[in-house]
Formats: sequence, C-alpha cells, structure tokens
Amino acid sequence: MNSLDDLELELRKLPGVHAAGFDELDDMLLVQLHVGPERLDNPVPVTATRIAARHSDRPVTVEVVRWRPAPVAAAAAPPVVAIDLEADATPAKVGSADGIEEEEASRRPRLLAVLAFPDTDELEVHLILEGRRTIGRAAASHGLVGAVEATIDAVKGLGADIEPRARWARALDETDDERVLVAVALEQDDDGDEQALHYGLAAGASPIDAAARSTLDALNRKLSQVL
Amino acid sequence: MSQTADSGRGLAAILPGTAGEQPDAEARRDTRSGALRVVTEDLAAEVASTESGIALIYKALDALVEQFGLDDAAVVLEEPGIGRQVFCAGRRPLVADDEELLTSPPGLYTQPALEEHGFDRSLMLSLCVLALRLDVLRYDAWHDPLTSLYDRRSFDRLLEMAIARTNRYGWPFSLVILDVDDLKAINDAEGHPAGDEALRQLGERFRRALRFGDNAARIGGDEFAMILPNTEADLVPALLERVRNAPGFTRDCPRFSFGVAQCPGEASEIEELVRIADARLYEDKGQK
Repeated sequence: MNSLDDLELELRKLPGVHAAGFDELDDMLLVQLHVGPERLDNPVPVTATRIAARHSDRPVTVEVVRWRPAPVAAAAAPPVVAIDLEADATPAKVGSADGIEEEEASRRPRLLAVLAFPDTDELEVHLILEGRRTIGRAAASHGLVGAVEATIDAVKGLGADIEPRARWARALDETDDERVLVAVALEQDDDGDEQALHYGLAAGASPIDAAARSTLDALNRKLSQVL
Repeated sequence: MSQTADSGRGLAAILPGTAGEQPDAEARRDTRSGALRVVTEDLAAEVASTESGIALIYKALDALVEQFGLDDAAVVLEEPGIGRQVFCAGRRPLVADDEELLTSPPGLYTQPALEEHGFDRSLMLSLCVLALRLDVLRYDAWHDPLTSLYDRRSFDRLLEMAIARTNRYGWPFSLVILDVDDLKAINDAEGHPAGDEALRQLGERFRRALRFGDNAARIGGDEFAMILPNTEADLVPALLERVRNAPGFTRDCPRFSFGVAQCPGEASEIEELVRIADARLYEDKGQK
C-alpha cells in the first residue's frame, strides 16, 4: 500500500466518516471527508488532520463536510429566521474561564439576536450594552463573514471608535450540546498603526449566531478600552 | 435532485437506470459486455494479491470510466465496523450533486447508467466489498487494537526494512525501546480500564510527537519501540520530553524508561541493535 492508501483507510475508519476524496495540488494535499451526523468522542477535524499530517510529507488541508438530516419543515420556513434571543444572550465562549466579574461583564455588549432576511439579502445583529440597544447590518449573502461585519457595525453603533475588518470566519465543528463552533479573525490597526489580528472562538445556536459571538470574543479586550 | 444526463461529473444523475438506454447501445453491446468482463476479471484476478484493496477499487472504477467513456463512476459499500463508504472514480472529492450517494443503497453507480446486459453488477460489487474487507483486515493485523500504533509483527518488519536501507544506502536511524514503569501501579490502583486508557493516551502522545517517516509500535503489554530515521541518540531525550509534555490529555503521561541504539553506528543487525537498546532501557530503569 502506498501512503495515500494507508491514509485513506485510516481516515475512513474514523467513526462517522462515509467518504474521502483527495486533490493533489501543487504544494498541498487537500483531503475532503464527508461525515454523518453522529456525535463522536474526538472531533473529526482535529483527529483527521493529525492522521493526515502523519501520512504526508507536505502540507495537508483537511476539509470536513458534516451531513445533517434535512429539517422536515425546511420548505415552509419563513423568510426571516430569528436565531437566539435574550434567553441565552451571554456569549458562550469556548474555553473561557468561569467567574467573570459581574461588573466587568455588564460593560460588554451582549448579543440579543441575529436575524437573517434572505429575500432582501440582509443580516442584522442586535446588541445591548447597559440598556442601550443597537443594530448592525451586513449582506446575508456574505455568510459567516456577513455576521462578523454586522456585529462590527453594531459595535460601532454603540460608540466604539474602532475599525476592525473581517479577515475570515470558519465553522469548525459542533459542540457536545449541538451548538456550532465558529472561529473568526479580525484585522485591526493597533497603536502605532501596526496591523494586528484578533481571533475569536465561540459556540452558538447556528453558524451566524456563533460568528457574531466569536466577533464579540475577538473584540473583547479592545471593547473594554473604547466603550 | 434533478437528473441531468449531460451534467458531466454530477453523481446525482448516475443512479442505475436513470440515464436510459443509449441510442447506439445495441450496436456496442457485444463490445461492452466483453469489456465489462475484462474489468471484472481483472478485479477478480488482483483482489487476492493486491497490496491495497482501496487502490483496486479505484482502479476498477477508473477502468469502467475509461472503457465506456463514462463521465463518472462511484461505488457505495456498507461494511460492518467501517460503515457506509462512498468511493468515486479518480479518488476525487464529492461534489454537491453527489449528496444522494451518501444515502443510496450499496451499489455501483455510473454516469450515464450502464445497461445491465452482459454486466454482472453484483459480482463487481462483491469484489469491491472483498477488496475493502481485505484492507480492513490487513490494517487490523498490522496494528495494535488498543493504541492503533503498529504491533509487534509490523515493528519487526519495519526494523528489518530500516536495517536493509541502512546497509544499502547508509541511511542512519535510532532505535528506541520504552517500558512503562508504573502500569501495574495504575492497574492496581485504578483498575485495568485506567491502565488501558493510559496506554492508549501514551500511543496518541507518540503519534503527535513523531515526524513524518518516524514509526512507533507497541511491541508488548507495556513496551513500545520507535524507529527514528536520521535522528542522533542525544536528540531522543528532547523528543521524549515532548511526548511527556504534550497538551490536551486527560491523564498525566505515565512514567517510562527507555534505551536507544544507533544503526549503523553501534550495530547493523537486528539482534544486536535490540540487545543494546534493551540493555540501556534496563540501565535507565535501574537508576529510578
């Protein structure tokens, strides 16, 4: 067996993996895995990337496509999708330490809702800070990046004098309670006009909800200075 | 999903029978059945001797595409222990239209559909199942089920190959043999499942610390071995420190002793190399 056969067999033996495809690019091996909706002990992207790196002498990119059963009422879904409301408005930061001081937390914007309007290609992010509400907007067709842009727009509506730009946003996986885990990177001119990248990671009820929460996570330190 | 016989690589449209009889099918039937027999016979002839069942499945799919000028071919297999598996010609990633394949029953799917005449679809499918099953069995035979590292049999073969390469090309390597010091204590104090978990996590620590080209194996109950090409003996302690300190594990790394022997610097034969590494392992153990 050659190394690619070994790699493929090992990847297909991962629980939940149903298909593996490969694309040998100039300087990289792209691996695509299709995974069912089963819950797994080990996150497939992490495990698969480690396996792939072990089998390849060049950079490897692993793309995981997770299949979920289609929602029964998908065809009749209303054009406006409201995701998350005040019942769970505290950003669910993954890996964050417990016990944030209440006073400090109250100075941070809380996410109230992320609303998508596919018909008009609009996406709204609703934030609240000390009783003040603000709405940020961006194009829904921008997907996860649109949620990041709308969150930045909403933060600026609260008076924050910052100009972060969305660099990328990516859905990573689901958490054990079936929330979506999204990572974002923001570009920000820091003191001395040097560009810095700020990363955020959060789970949410949907990809755009998690992207908005991740954006707040990425801006967290900056916001405490400017709000 | 729409059926688009002219949609190129779209596998949504390649469910059997969806594309209908081709206008010139009758004229080519004899040729086709002969070609199909060749594809199937080739598959049957090679399945027992091939080193890779997966490669054989792709070879058969690629042969189908080539022989019949198909746009695409895929096979869906269902195997106990590995579940539903989809293979596409050319080893290519799935595209959006392939969605149906993931829920389709086991079978051979082509675009356009192949007429049934003269083609034993079930035989080809069975041979693909056999090829995959052989791969899984082969993998299980060469790997330790607890840690998924190579097992003793694989290690002996890998060591033979490493020594042969050294003797032929002069490529040096270090052999490391490790022994977990406190496995019995873990088993006695926390039970055998905890001991198994400690070994499993140690195996994962090795995998994360090793480079491409390094090999690690579980060669006994609490004994492990590594073959590290182009690695000097004095670099091994740093590597093992990375193993001990690797983050993200629920258990602390169990304590272990180790011995290193270098090929060809210290020995060029298996027995002598293992004897040196073993002696140093027990020397290390004795110092604790």
